[in-house]
Amino acid sequence: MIQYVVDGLVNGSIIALGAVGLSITYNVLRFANFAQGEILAIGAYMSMALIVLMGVGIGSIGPVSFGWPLLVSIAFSIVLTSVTVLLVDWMLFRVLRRRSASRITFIIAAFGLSLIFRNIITLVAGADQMFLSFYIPKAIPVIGNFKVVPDDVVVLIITAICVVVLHSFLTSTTVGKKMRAVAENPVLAMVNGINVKSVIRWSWVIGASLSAIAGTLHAHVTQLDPEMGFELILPMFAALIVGGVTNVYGAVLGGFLIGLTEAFAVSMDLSAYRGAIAFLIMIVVLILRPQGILGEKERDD
Amino acid sequence: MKVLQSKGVRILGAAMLCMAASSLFNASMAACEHKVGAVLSLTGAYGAHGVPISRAAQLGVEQVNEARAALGVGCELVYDVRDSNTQASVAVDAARKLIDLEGVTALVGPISSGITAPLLSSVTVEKDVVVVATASTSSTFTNMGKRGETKGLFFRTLSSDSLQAVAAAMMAYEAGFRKPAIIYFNNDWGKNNQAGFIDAFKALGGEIGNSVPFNPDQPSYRSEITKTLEGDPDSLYMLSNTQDGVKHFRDWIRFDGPQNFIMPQGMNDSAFVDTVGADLLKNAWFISPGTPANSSLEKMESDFQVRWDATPKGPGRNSGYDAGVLIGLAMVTADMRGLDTSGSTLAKIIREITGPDGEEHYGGVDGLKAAIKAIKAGKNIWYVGATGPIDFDPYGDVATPFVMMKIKDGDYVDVGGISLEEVSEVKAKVRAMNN
Repeated sequence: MIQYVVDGLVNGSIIALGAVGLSITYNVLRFANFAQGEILAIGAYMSMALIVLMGVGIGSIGPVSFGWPLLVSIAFSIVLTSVTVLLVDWMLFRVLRRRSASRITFIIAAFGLSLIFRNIITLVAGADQMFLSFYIPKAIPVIGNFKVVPDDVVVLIITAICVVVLHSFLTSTTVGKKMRAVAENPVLAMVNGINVKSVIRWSWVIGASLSAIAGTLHAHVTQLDPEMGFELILPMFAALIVGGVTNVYGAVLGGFLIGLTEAFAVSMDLSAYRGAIAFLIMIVVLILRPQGILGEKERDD
Repeated sequence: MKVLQSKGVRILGAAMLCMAASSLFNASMAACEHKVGAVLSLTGAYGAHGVPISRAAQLGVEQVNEARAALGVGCELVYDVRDSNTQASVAVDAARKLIDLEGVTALVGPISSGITAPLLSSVTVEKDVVVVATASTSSTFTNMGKRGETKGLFFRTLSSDSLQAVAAAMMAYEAGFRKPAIIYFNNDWGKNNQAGFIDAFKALGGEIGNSVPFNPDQPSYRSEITKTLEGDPDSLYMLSNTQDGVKHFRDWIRFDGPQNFIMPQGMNDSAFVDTVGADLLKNAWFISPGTPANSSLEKMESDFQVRWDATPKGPGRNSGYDAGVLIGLAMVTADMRGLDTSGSTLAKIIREITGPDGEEHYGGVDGLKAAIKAIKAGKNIWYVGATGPIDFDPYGDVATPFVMMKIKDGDYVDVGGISLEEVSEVKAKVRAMNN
């Protein structure tokens, strides 16, 4: 059983990091960003490109099968993914905002963007799967039949660090506080002299950074392919809704819940229904607590 | 003004006349053209398989057309493929368009059995369209045939899973595996194949570990692999598609699963070997419908290489080619005999040009020329295709022997064969065990 818990946590941590990005765009920019999955994929492909360019493999530290080259490439990928997203915001969403487009327009635009991103990836990198490293790290027996891949532990640690950093960013820095203010009430925030444009840029950067990290980690524990973002977007939305759309920590909680639910479904011989069970949980949450587990009741605006 | 007007009218009239004439001309051309339709997975879960299969089918149609044109018989044959995106709804829609708008009466069929089934039940049989499937191996279609639901309009150039699953079980036993676990695609093909494999393997005296279904296109399959590893299996039977199969494979290795693999025909793709590396596949056993090398196969492989500048090796190339050739030959035959090209007529002719009581004829442009000449002379022929001598049973199934293959120096090497008699023996054991 404990093996499934680890499986669920590792998958859940990637869903969680991606869902945080979704949550931030939803709260600050007020639309469901269907291109979030592809942002994650772009983050992964950026890392892949850098690793290929550096040409030294992904290194290793002790039992962990990746070292500084991967960490460096994640750092660069964060920058490049953020720049890409800011560029897209400037070219697309800024224009929509200026024209006071409806939420639906934003969602459709994001959906179109996801298709464009996916096809650009296929065009540039090809449709075949790729790996950050061909080497397959082996699991180490811990107790009895329970085995752990050291890399997975690092994935969990990195996720935990991301959540802690995000928390202190939102609560202790001025930018973080401004972001929360805009999320709470954009008009009131503007009246109080908060630069909404800069807050919007920061939201994109944070969402993109977490996606770059999540995408690269996902690529490391599984593989890269142009469909990877598309495969992750539904669990990410489910996580967001289960955890509570208005609460960033809800997205994290939701991510782990979805990951664990899917793993438990498989452990109970229900692998054929694993996606359905995650959505069943979502429906139950929506019935019992429509705002999500940690969410607050959404005000009308 | 008046002059101008009349001039204008004249010009307009002339233009219309030209258009009418050209459309007439087009119509007369179109009157003698047959479209060979195809609904295949060019993208989606089986996209990697679909493109080469479609190319093989196209090659088959083109070669029949070339042979026909050289002899000056029959109508122009045109290959028209539509993508199913490996989704049943898209496939059904694409088939409807081909049939209703393009007037197609014969289709090179889908790859996935999960798509072929709805295609047959909701479109083609009702519309009297013949389907020659290239890689749908589910035993569902045999059962549909037995119930009369295919009206004799379904054929496949690859043998059914009811045989292949048994052969795979025999191969696994021969390889020395005694407790394989199974991961299977949660569709018609996967479900039937694993069931057949389990019965046959138990009849042979082996044990089965966990048999775990998976849905395609999931971000990760590690829990599924955790499940297959429970109970210490000694090998893994991978009823996967190559795209998701790579994820299954790498997680199996990661969690220290024994490096013993049993692969169905669908996994026997050099792209898969390249992706995961031949090193980890040292004790991987592949089952494949055994084609005793014949001139059709050799010709098809070299022509494919030239036509597409791509490798002819991989699942479904030979069955795709034969599907294209059979439909093409049936259409030419119908033309030569002055028959219509409705699905039922084509199905009848497909049965005539296959089967052991005819004169043997092979693929390739020259081979097909000879075949068309023989048909024209009123002879009974037997098309020996790239998949071997084709002999359909009443349900459109073919029976082929099997070969077992392993990877040596990055290439497939035959390590033995399994005859149809041996497969039948095991099937008899299964029946005895179930009773």
